[in-house]
Amino acid sequence: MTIVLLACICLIAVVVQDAFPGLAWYHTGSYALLLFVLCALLAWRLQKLLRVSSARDRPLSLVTAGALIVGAAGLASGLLGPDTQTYVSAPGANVAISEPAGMLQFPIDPTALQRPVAVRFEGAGGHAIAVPAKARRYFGGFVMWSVAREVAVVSAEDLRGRRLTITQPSNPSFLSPVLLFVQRSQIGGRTLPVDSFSIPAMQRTVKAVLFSGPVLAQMRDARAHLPAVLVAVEDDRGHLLPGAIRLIPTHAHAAVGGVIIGDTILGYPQIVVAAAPYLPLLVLGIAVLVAGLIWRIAFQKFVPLVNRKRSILTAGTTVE
Amino acid sequence: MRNIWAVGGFALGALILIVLAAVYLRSGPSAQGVGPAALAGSHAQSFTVPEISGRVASLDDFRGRLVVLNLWASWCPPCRAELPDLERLYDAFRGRNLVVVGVNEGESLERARAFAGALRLHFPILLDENQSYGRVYAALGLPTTIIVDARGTVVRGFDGALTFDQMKAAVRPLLVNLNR
Repeated sequence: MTIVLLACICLIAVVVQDAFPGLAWYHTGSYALLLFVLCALLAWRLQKLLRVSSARDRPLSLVTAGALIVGAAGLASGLLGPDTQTYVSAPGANVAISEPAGMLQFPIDPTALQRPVAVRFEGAGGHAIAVPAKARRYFGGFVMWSVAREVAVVSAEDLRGRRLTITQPSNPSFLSPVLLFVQRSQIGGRTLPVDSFSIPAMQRTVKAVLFSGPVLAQMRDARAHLPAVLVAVEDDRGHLLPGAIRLIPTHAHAAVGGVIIGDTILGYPQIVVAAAPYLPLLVLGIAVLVAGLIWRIAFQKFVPLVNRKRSILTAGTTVE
Repeated sequence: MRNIWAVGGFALGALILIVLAAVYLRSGPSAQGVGPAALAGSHAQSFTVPEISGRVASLDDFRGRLVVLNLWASWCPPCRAELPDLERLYDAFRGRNLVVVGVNEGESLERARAFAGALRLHFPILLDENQSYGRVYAALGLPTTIIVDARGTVVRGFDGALTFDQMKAAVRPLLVNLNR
């Protein structure tokens, strides 16, 4: 009974990595110690069971071995697996990642920004998977999933309505008109996403602060509110132009600091990559554990019946 | 019997440890590089956009020829310096399966057309309003030049302005292979 209990605790401690992936706790000493102690106890019991090796104990050996496989998979992902990483990138950008080795390809289609889209991951070996919204995908000893984040597609025009190039000199995707708001800043007691872009043709730099719908609703004491971007336009020396601060709601345009700025706020995927127990080993471990349990139950249920039948037969023979 | 179980258990344990170490300790291709040079060997992505001539076109329309794709904007001084050399390259090699394709990044038709007219550019110029080409070709700045072979594969990528000699040196070996 103790063995089955230990095996179940070990199984739960490891499967929790799949149920709630990406927690920092899996890479801490306390988690490793917990699994190590469980595995050590299971190994000690297994060694005792193997030494005795009676027919009655063989199913328990399997249960223990299965739990040990599961425990080893969990311990390895916690100790050897890297910390959880979140990858944010501009539409159309390819991001090389080292763990797991490969390339994340973020979808470019601007219309795709308006519906849930999949980010493609191509492993170093050429094997590719799509990571759609609200789904998890396993790749070796890693699990990936997509989380929507608010981004703003901005546009700029001169006062005659002629389109202007947007650049992001401080971001990895230089020619992207999509603001990812990776940075955060304390503004008026709130932590808000901030970003910036340039309009080189007009020698303008624009600082942008994203206000989500709920934040604006809270600030204006309203039930609901459209998200908006607060823009502040500076000249090429970094001086704020007079009257060049404006809150522009999504799907709107406004003339600020001598340019017409427009924004559209949309959801776009970011990818979280976390170490997870190596799935084939986890499945193998669980299969062995379950096989052992079934064998054990079958042994407890049917062996007494067989023994009884045998004893009846033996008794019959004696009478004769 | 007992020995078989013990040996089997030990072998399985060792195998599990080896597999797990291989799964988690395998290091990736972190030295992929950044910018357009890192795109060599990848498929050249194409988007259908307006041309300054009024038609619509995409990079795929030039498949079968060696394409020198140049991303530029009128506000960029190095682009202004480089574009006449691209026009020379276009003139010198257009009879030899080479086409120069300019891609204006994010500007209006009016501005791009006026600029191309002032510099007397005759090669096709695409108008990339959404800056899609700029994003997928990993531009770190302007100008950015990408050389795409006849099959639609990126051969080389350059960040910054090229001289006429640098352009010739980059395309000549590729044209020799293409026209062989």
